[in-house]
Amino acid sequence: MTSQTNDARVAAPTGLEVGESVVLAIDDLRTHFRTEQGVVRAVDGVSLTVPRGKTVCVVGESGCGKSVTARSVLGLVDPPGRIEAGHIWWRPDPGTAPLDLAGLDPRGEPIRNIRGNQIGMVFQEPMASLSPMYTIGNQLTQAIRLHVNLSAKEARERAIAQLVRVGIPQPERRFDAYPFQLSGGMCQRAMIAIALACDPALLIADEPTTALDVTTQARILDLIRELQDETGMAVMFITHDLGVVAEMADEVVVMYLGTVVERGTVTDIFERPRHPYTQALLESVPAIGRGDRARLRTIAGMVPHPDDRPTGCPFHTRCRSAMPGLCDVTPPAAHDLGDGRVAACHLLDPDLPPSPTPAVAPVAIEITEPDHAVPPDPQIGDQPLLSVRQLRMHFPVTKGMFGRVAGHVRAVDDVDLDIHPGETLGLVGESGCGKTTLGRCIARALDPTGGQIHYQDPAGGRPVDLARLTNTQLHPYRREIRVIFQDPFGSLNPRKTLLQIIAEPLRNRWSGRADSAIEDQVAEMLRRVGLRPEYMRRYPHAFSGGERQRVNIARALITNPRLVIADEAVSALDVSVRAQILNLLRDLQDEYRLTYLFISHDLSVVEHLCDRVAVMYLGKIVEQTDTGALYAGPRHPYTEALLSAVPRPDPRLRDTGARIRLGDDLPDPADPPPGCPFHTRCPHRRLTRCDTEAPRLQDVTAGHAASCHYAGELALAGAAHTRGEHGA
Amino acid sequence: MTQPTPEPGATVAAEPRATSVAPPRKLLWWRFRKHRLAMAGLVVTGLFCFVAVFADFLAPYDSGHFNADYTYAPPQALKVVDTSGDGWDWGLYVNGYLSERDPDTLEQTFTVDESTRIPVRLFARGPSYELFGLFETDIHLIGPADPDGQPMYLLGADRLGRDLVSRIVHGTRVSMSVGLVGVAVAFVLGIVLGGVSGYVGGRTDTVIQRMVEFFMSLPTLPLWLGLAAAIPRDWGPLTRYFAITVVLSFVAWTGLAREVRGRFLSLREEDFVTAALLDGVGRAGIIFRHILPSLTSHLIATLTLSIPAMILAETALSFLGLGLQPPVVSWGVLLQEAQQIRVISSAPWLLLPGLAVVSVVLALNFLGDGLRDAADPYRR
Ligand code: SF4
Ligand code: SF4
Repeated sequence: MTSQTNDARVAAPTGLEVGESVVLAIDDLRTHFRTEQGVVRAVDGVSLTVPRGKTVCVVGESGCGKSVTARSVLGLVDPPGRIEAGHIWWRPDPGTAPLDLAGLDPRGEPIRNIRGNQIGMVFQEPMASLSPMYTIGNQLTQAIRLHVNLSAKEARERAIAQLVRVGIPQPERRFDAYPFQLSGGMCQRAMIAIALACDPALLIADEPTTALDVTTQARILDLIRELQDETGMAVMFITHDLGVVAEMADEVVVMYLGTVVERGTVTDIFERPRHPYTQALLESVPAIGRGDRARLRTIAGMVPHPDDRPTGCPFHTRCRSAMPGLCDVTPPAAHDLGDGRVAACHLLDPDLPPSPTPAVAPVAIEITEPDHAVPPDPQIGDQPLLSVRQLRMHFPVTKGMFGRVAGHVRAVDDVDLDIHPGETLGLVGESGCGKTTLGRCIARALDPTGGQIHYQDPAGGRPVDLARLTNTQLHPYRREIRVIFQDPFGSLNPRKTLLQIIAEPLRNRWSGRADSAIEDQVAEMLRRVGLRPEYMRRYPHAFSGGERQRVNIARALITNPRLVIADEAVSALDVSVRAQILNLLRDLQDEYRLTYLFISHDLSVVEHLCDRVAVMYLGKIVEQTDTGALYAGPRHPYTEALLSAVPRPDPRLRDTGARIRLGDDLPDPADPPPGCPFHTRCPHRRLTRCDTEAPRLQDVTAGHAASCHYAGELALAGAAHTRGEHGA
Repeated sequence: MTQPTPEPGATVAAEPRATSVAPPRKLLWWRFRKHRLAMAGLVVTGLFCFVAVFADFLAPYDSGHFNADYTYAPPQALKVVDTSGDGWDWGLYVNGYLSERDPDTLEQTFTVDESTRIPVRLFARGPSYELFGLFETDIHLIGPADPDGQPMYLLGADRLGRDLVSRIVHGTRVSMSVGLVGVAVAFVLGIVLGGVSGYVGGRTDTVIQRMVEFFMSLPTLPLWLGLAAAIPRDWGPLTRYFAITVVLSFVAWTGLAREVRGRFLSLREEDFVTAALLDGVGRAGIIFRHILPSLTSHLIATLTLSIPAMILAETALSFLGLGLQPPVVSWGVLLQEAQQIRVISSAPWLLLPGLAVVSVVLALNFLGDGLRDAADPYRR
């Protein structure tokens, strides 16, 4: 990068004068990591401002430098990272002159005074950020006494008041609890209590809800908003989730590869995005409640690694409107579009001669891939491909030295489920509800405690009960039912090449070695999932998360299976890559006539992909029906709450309608509550039957089953009720 | 029907980076190479192994060679050039001794006599030996030019006038091999029991773990002493050597078994192992093709780290007189000679075997640490 472009960026009217209304102004920040492989420019010229009392969301895919930006502000960049240039103006008090944090020694006294005192911080993993060795109260009082001179007793009182403030029930008891004794949501609340202990002027929250369930996330977001209203602090909120951005932000900063590509108010960004990346990002998110099942638009390729960033515009390798000869040579300057909107794209350069491409309105550019109509569903037969009956998976809880069985966790408890050939069945629920265990039982990675799994070979023959087969007997069926795993890293053996990984299920059938016929087959499969056949001899560490997930898919499909269990198959992926994989799954389903069991916690993805949905709670299916019916009119209060907790990528929906917030966290699955398992959290609970009598899963209307005593009477809101107001 | 065409740019650059096709072993080596201290450890360990293998050739004398005239003779400096006469006279030599006997204490004292010259040469003839038991030869790396003339003592002599260089070199062979053989025995025990324990689980696991705990709870030193004392005195040196090795490995396998079990347990939960199960791979296939390869690098690191303990244990036992017995020489046996304070004050060079122990233990520790750090090239 030449110094000229440097100057251009600084001189650009980015509105960076540190006025009184601004707490934090980052000006052309550059944080680089000098590693042995070269310099990684993780943050490369970021400018943004955080107005007093407002929420600024920094959004971008992984590796775009958003976390490093936040850490630079706090002076917490891990070595070998260093702030190379730029300023971080910090003005907690309009009466004082701004202070440049970038100039402070990251280990010095002044920054430590600011960190935790004037700037609070919350990180992604609440469990990892809290010390397991100290109680919550201990850590909280420490944080308070570090910055305020208080006696131990006063500090304790203040700490308890803090716990009350962040909505931790029974604060006196929780004060003496260790982090592992609390749920993830509680820990995150405790983290927020610590962050806000000294009433900071700015809270930096780095993906604070990413590790949490959607219901917990909704409440944590509420909490941050409430506390902000109460204290008037500013919030810098870092996230990859556009739904969360739409819920939280006043202003949005979109980052890509260490640079800010666009900034503006939340409505501007969501309704009139100007930068091609922002536009593409917004298009690649399936929005809940739209009932939209068309192919997702995707951003081609993936985020390049920051150590080999493209020249010119960092986005040009993936941009649909890239102008050859310009975009790949000159980095675009940040153009001020008025109203505090800034976007860095040559298309918005007023001096640019009109180019042959329809440059001014990149929105109008058609995507190249055929927007094909969803093909008619393959004939869904009457005979289910798989029918699960009273499936039970109980894990013993052992205690003491001799492994006395003290109880059972009922991870899967009397589940009935039918999967028809050619359909996609979604399985949703919070973490810990047993959906993954159910999937693993069906794949027979686990031996179920009880029940049957009838598999009907569509080619004929009698149904077999997979639950009763031994490992050897299962052998032929392992080829019919395959699994795509969630973790693109842990699921591929790092010591094997792609060929060995993908050919593993084939090699046992024929000879022990992989012969050339197998190689051809693997090559073909790699091509099908969008990877080059030459990659066959490479090891998984050479691939990104999205590519590994393609390998995972190839491994699942190499045996030409009937049923594919996709266990959170896209959860670990970035938004744009996720859209690619979802499209791929859809295409492969059409091509190979696959049946999917799609396990996910992400309700918008499930709506996009699935024909039918089953909702699980505490090891039981509580509702099961067609996707459209479920999202339009849920029949179980739990489904309703789940749907309402999903943040939607539309800022206009932010304050419409009351949100249902589920109290308390999931009950202990080793000791499920009597009566309706959901009664401890149900907003519609009635005293008469709910806590004594367990409801059964029954058809409310034809094909729509729910397990609630009042399923027929309750008027529950779905996700689709906003559809009329905001048609896509 | 749509062809899922690869979306443009969905693939990484076509030219493979070196790392993408590198097998795991290479990645490990690349990471290991960056570790300076570990590389130094590797070099030193390699040197010691070389010495152990070629001990007969490297040592000027065999381990039992003695000369009562040179009791506690001090080290001689090896000189390259003689400037005492006129002009420079090139050639390896050492100066001879002047010995004096104190008439009252009868103690013999040596002073280096600058005037006598004992010529020294490389590839000198000395006592004959069999190289690798294959062919007989009497060529030694270094030795006095005249095998029947005055002896040389580069690092001094001991109570019986035995050359310390030769004794340390021969001791290296014994001490290193005790470490390696002992660890090998412990390794087999540890892997088999730990692996069974980790993979099978359940009752078997409980039984093996209780056994491990029992062995671990026994205080090591008394156990060794007890076991070593139980070895009949009249066993030959070689039998005794093996008996001691087995005694040592008896205690060392427990740590290894725990390590292996822990890794097995955590690997069993890995998704890629589940994936292999779902691929229809049998139990043996999962263990030998998926779990064990993932373990090897860690195992090698752990092994390297447990050799020093073995060496130290042997040294300690021999030092206490319960381990190896003369005429077998090991570092411990050599140090046994340096037990008395009087000896140390008059012949401090007898402590030199201790230096050998320290350097090899440090080197192996650095090497093991480096291996352990490099063991997981896939750490995220
Ligand atoms: S500068 Fe060019 S490549 Fe970059 S976003 Fe704009 S049009 Fe696309
Ligand atoms: S049965 Fe009662 S507690 Fe359970 S979901 Fe229905 S209303 Fe709620």
